[in-house]
Amino acid sequence: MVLARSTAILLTPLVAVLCPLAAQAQAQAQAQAQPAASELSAPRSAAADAVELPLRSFSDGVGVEEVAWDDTRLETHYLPLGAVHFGLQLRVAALPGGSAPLGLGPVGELAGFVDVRYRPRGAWRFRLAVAVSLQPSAQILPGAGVVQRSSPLALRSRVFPVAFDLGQLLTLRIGVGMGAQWASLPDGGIWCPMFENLEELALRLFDGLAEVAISGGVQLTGVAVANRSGDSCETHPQAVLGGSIAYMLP
Amino acid sequence: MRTTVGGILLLGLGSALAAGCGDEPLGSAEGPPPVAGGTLLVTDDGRWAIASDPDRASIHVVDLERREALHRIELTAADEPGRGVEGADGRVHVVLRRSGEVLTLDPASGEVRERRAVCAAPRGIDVEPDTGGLVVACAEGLLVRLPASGGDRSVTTLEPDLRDVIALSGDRFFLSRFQSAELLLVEGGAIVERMRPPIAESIGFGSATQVPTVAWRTRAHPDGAIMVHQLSTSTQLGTLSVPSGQYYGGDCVTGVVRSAVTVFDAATGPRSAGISGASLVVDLVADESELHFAAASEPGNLLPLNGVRTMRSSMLAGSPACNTAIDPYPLSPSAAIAVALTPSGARVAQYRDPALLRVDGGMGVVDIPLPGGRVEHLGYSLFHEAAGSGATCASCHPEGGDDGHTWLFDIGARRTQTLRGGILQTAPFHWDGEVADVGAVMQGTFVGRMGGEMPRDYELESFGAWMDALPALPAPRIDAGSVDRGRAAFEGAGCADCHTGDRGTNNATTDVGTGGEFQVPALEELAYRAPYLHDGSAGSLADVILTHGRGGTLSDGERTDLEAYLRSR
Repeated sequence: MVLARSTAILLTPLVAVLCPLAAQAQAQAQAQAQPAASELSAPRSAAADAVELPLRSFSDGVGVEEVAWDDTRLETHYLPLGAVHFGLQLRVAALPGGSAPLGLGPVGELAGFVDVRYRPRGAWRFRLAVAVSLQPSAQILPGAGVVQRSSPLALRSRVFPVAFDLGQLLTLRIGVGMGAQWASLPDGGIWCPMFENLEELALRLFDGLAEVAISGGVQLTGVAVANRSGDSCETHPQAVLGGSIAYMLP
Repeated sequence: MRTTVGGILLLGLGSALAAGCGDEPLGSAEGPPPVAGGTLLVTDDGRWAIASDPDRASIHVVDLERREALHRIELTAADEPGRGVEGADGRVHVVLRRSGEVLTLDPASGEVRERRAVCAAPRGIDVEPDTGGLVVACAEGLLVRLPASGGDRSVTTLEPDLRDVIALSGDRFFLSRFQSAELLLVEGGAIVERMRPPIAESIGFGSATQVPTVAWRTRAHPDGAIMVHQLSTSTQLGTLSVPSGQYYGGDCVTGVVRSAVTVFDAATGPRSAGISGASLVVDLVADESELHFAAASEPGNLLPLNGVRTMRSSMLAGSPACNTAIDPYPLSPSAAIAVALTPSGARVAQYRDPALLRVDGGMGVVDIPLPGGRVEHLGYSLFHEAAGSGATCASCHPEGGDDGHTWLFDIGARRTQTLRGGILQTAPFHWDGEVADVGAVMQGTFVGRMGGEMPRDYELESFGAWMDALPALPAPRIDAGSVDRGRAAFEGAGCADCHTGDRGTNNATTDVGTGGEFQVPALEELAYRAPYLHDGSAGSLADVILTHGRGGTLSDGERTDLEAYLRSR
C-alpha cells in the first residue's frame, strides 16, 4: 500500500511534467471513467457498501496494487482548493557572476502574491507578485571622481504566466519581472529600471498552505554611476540561485 | 505554524535590511599616504622581491621563482614602509618612514628579525661596500651609519631634505636632496661636491627656463648616479589670467612641470632627457640600453594611466631635450609606483591598487597579486590625478608637502606651500589669502591652470578630508633646553601674536615687513622646508628671524634658541 501510494506520488508529477495538458485530460478522463474502474473494485467496509467506491490500479512492473480512489483525493488533487489565493513569500538567493561592484549577494526578498487558477480544479495557475528585495551594496572608485555603487533595494512586480501543479506536491513556475531599483550616490541616489526572469520549483506542504521552493533566474542589477558629468545608471546581468518559503494567507 | 513562518519572514527581512542599506564611505577615514615611490627591491639572486606597501601598511615578500606572494608582514599606518636594501647576509632592511626605524627581515621565512630606531624621517638606505654596514639618509639632514656587527650608530649632520643614499667605497657617499634635486658627494663626513641636473629650456608657451626640482629617486649607475626628477618653470607665469591648462606637466614639449632623467657622469658631465607622456614619474631603473620608469599618476577623465614606460639610454643628452618614452605596457592595471630588474634582466614593476607585481621576463608578462585588498580613496585619487595638462597636485606638492620651488607669477614670487599638518585649519589659502576654500582652490588651479575637470562636491569633501589628515613630518630631535629657551624667546619677541594655536597661525593676512600683506604661515615642518617666506627669499630660519617681526632685536643666543624651537615644531 505504501509502495503504491509512493508510486502514485512520483508518477503523477512525472506524467504532468512530460505533458501538463495531457495530465489534465487524463484527470478528467479518469473522473469520467470511474464507473468503469469500479468493475475492478470491491467493498472495503460497511460504510463503503452504501456507495461503491472506485479503486485505482498501480503497477510497479511486478504486480498490480489497487488503491482506493479517495486516497488519491482526486477532487482535491490541486491544493489548496479554490480559484484565488493570496500569500506571502520570503526568498533568499545568491548572486553568482558579475564583477565589482556587483556582489555575490545574498539577496533577500519579501513578496506578496496572488494565485489564480485558470479553472477551479485545473493544474494551471497564474501568479502575480509584488516584491521588495534587499541585497548588499558594493562600490568601486576607479578614479577621476567616478563612484560606482550597486543597488541594494529593488521593488519588483512579477508575473508567472506559466505556473502549474505537478501532482499533489510540486508546482513549477516560470515568470518575468520588472520594477525599479535604487542605489545611493554621494550626492543622493538614483532609481534604475529592474528586469528579471525567474523559474521556481515549489514543494507544497500542509495541504498547500505552505511551500518551500528552489529558484533560479537572471536579474539585471542596477549600478549607479556618479562622475563629473552627472549621475547615471547601468544594469548588469547576474544569475540568481536560491530558495524560498511561502504560505497562504487565511 | 503560521506564527513561525511569519516570524521567519520578518527575521529574514530585517536581516536583509541591515545588510543592504549601508552607505559606503569614499575611502578610509585616514586614507592611504601620498605616493613616495621606489618601494621595490629585488634580491641579488633574483629569488625574492620585497615590496613595501604603505597603502596597506605591509611589506610583501614575493617568490619570483614560484611567482607568488609568499609572506605579508603587517605593520601599522604609523610605520609607512619605504626603501629597502639587501644586506650581505641575505637579510633585507626596510626603512619605516614615519616611525623612524629600520626593519630587518628574513625573506625566506618572512620573519622580522629586528627594528632599530635611526632618525625622525629615514628615506634612503644602502649597504656600505667596505664594511657591510647600513647607511640611512634622513630627511632632517642626518646620515646615520649602522655597523653590520651591531653596536652604536654614528650620525653625521649634513643638510636637510636628504632623500637617497648610494654608498661608495672609501667612506664616500652620493646623497640626493629631494626638493632641490641636488646630488651631493660626501666624503669623510663633509660635502665635497654639489651637482644638479642641467637647466632646461622649454619650447612650450613662449620660451621658459626650467630648473630641476623634486628628485623622486636616485640610484647607482655605472657612470655614477642616475636620478629621475622634475623640471619646474622659473620664468614668469600668469596667475588668475593664465589660459586654461597652462600648467602642462605630462608633455615635455610644453608645461611648467615635467619629468626628466639625469645621469651624473663624472667623465662627461650630466646627461639628461625629458620624459614625454608620463606624469608623476617616481622611480626608475636602468639596464645597459634602456631606462624604465614608474609613473604614479592616477587616471583622469582626460588622460589614461601611464604605468611603466621605457626609454632608450641613447636619448640622454647634454640638456634635457624632449624625448618620447617608448614601449608602454599595453594596459596598465593601476598606477606604477616602483620598478626594478632581476639579475637575468626581467623587469619587475609594482602597481598600487589593485596591488600586484608585474614580471616581464621576455617570455611574457606575469602578474602576481599582492594581498590586502583595494584601498580606493577618492581624495587620494584626485590628488594624484593627471589633469588635462598631465600635471598632478602631487607634482608641486610631492608627498603632500612642497617642491621647494618659488614660482614667478605676474603678482610676484610665490613659494609652494606644504599641505601637511591639517591644511583645512589654515583657510583662507594661498599666500595672498584670496582663496576661501578647497573648492575655490580647485577651480582656480586644478581647472583653470592644470586643465582638469571640476570635481564634484563629494570629491572635494573627500579630497579636503584626505589632505587634512596628512600628518606633518616628525620634527627632528633637538636639545630640549634650547627648545625651551627658544619658546620663551618666541613669545617674548611677539611671534606668538600671529603664530598662534597648534599650527602656529591665526590665518590672518598681515604685513610684517616682508613686502606686502600675506597669510601668516603655519609653523610646521620648518626643519624641512627651506627656503622660507612667501617669495622664498629667506634661505634659512636665521634669515627669517632676522628679516621680519622683532627677531632682529634678539641676541645671538636667543636667535639660536629660537631657531631650535622652530625646528622642533
